[in-house]
Amino acid sequence: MVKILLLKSLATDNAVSFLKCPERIESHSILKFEAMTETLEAPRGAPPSEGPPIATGTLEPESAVPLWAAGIAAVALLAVFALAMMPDAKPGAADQLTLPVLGLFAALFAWTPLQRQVAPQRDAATFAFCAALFVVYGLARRTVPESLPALHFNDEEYRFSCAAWCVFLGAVLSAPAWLKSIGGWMRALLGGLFILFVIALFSFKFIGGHYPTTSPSPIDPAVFVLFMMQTLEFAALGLCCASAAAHPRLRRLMLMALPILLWMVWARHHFAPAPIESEND
Amino acid sequence: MQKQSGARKIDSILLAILIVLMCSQISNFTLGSDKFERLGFATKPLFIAYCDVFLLLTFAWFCVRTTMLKAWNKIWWPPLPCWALIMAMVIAALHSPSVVNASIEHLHGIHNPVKILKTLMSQDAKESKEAIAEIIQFSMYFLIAPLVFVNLMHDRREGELISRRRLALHAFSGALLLTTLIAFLELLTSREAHGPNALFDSANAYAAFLALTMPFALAHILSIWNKPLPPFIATLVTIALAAITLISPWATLAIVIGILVAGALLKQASRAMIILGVLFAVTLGAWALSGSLHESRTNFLTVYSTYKHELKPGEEAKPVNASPDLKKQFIEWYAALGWSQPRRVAGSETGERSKNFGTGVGPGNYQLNIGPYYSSLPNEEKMPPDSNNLYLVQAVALGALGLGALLWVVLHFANLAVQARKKFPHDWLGAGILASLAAAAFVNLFHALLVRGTGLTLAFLFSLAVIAWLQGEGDSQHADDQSV
Repeated sequence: MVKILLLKSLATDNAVSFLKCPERIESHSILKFEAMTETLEAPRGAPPSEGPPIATGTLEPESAVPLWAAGIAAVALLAVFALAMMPDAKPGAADQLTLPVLGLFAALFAWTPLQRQVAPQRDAATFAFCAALFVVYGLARRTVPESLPALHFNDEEYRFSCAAWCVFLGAVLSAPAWLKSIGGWMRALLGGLFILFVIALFSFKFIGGHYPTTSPSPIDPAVFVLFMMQTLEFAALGLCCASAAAHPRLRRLMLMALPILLWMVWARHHFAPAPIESEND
Repeated sequence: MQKQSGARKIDSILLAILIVLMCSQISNFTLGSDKFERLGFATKPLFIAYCDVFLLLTFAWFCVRTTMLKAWNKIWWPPLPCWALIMAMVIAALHSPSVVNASIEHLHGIHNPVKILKTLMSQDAKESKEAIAEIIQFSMYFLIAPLVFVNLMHDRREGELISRRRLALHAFSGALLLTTLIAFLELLTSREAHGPNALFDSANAYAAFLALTMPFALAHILSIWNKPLPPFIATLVTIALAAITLISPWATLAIVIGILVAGALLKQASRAMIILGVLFAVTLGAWALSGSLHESRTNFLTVYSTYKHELKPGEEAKPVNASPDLKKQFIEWYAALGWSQPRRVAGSETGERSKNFGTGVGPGNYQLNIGPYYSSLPNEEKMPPDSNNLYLVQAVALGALGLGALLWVVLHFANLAVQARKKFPHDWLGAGILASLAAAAFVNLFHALLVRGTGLTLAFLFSLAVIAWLQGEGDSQHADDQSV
């Protein structure tokens, strides 16, 4: 039943039959309600075979997306999967539960007839990549070598992880792909992250103006810095997903590979777990 | 002229009742018991509003009738963003360390599926209970409600198209007038000490509801102006009563934003200015009155807290010249950012650290997790009800994925309203929806609209965006003329 509903909602012409109706025009006035209840024909000026648009925003034709740019993004995402398999990732019970279930969801969308509905839609595929990668990236970003360059803020050092550098590079180099393929989902995601960015900046300035950020103060600047770093990282990750989903052939390939990649990360940590973190870490 | 069948009448009646009920939050049904004293705020019972129950009843009737008519292939289905939001919630629940660890602990040794479900929904397993309840609630608001509203307002299950757009809009206008009248009576009788709340749980929820709905009603009168007169006067009375009974300046500001958007979209700047003038005069008059609400209203205009700290034995009082604390509403904005920080998960034996920026702490688990994020920020004052920032609540609970999915839903229906404006330039409905969504986007910073059941009204506006795209007012009017 769920599969049927999803097929229905994913179909781009889900309102085709909805708009087709007899040309008879009648009216009713039996109840008070009926005075406001009309029997109409299909809306004038609207082609009867056209349903409500599914994707928000206008997209460039997919043929205009360069394969090399989408490929760079795909490589960055594969690097994220590889980093998630590192011993530093140390997945918890929630990660160990989510990864195989996400793999099952991905298999449902990529290996069943649903694939014929999902694969042609850039937005649907981008969302699927983001849903999987947001979980995997949470593990991948735990690998932070000391040799990486550090940012300094309020006498504290902050480092972006290897995964962050991968997605930053991927997002920048694959710009020709995502610039032509920012659809409804990516606009919403970037819009949401931008709103959070503004709220964080405002509250840090506003509350920081009231409570001094120097010690002893209830305002911890690390909260603000880590928040901003992750906002940027997840925006870059989203852009990589958008780029990888921009090219039709690469999108199909990535969708097919997604369940296997998720199960690989799960299997790596399930069958060969890293040593348990000590309390002092 | 064709006589309507009984089933069609029931469809119309159910739709009208549902629209009237959604303008309230009356809840006599509760799940679980209040364990405030023993376990804290987060274990309070779940309240189920009449409108939610009635939505499920209407959905059941809709399913039965659609099955009998064999019309499942003729109906409109919720779009991809709505399904994506529910998927994001499921992922957020599965990926929440607190939900998963608590569930594992409570499900230890239980293998019977029925017992597993009962345990997950029990009062003790509060993390999973909140997560499941929130997923069900959002499924109702973002899948079931649009499905029911759109297919009842644009019903072609019997082959011919039955439009109930006018019925829905009349019922909605009537319900708005009724709601503001009830609030006005509360104001006159001074029944509510913290401000009139009509049939809502709090004055803030009522304010958020008005911020969402008033721009829509005003877009209608900007479009029709004084022809015909009765709806024009009724809407003017509604907006005047709303201005008198509102205590939140944020909601008033949101309504102003909505009016400006509606005026710009409908190219009726002068009419919008007249309405704004009336609103300004009434608001100023209401605020100048020295009533019991004067203090509440003035309190809204300050960023400082009026909370009086009770000194514990041996504790030193704050210096007299020390600046007062900020309101908790604003402090929580900064505290909520702490969700991005690594934090040791309670109950985890492996020293697991939560870093769920992507998927959050789990649906409905905002209140359970926000406390530790305060760290050393002042956290004594109780947060006024319904004064959370929706963007932060959703981001903390569902992560960046869930917040993005929620905004995707809003953008999808806003885009439909834009398309409807292009397709039917003389129809006001698209402009009204865009004005309401603009007001909602602002008011959600101060009063979360989805937290306490006002989501059904948002679903109704989303459904109207689909209706605006499918049928213009001109077509509806044309059908009326021909039938006459």
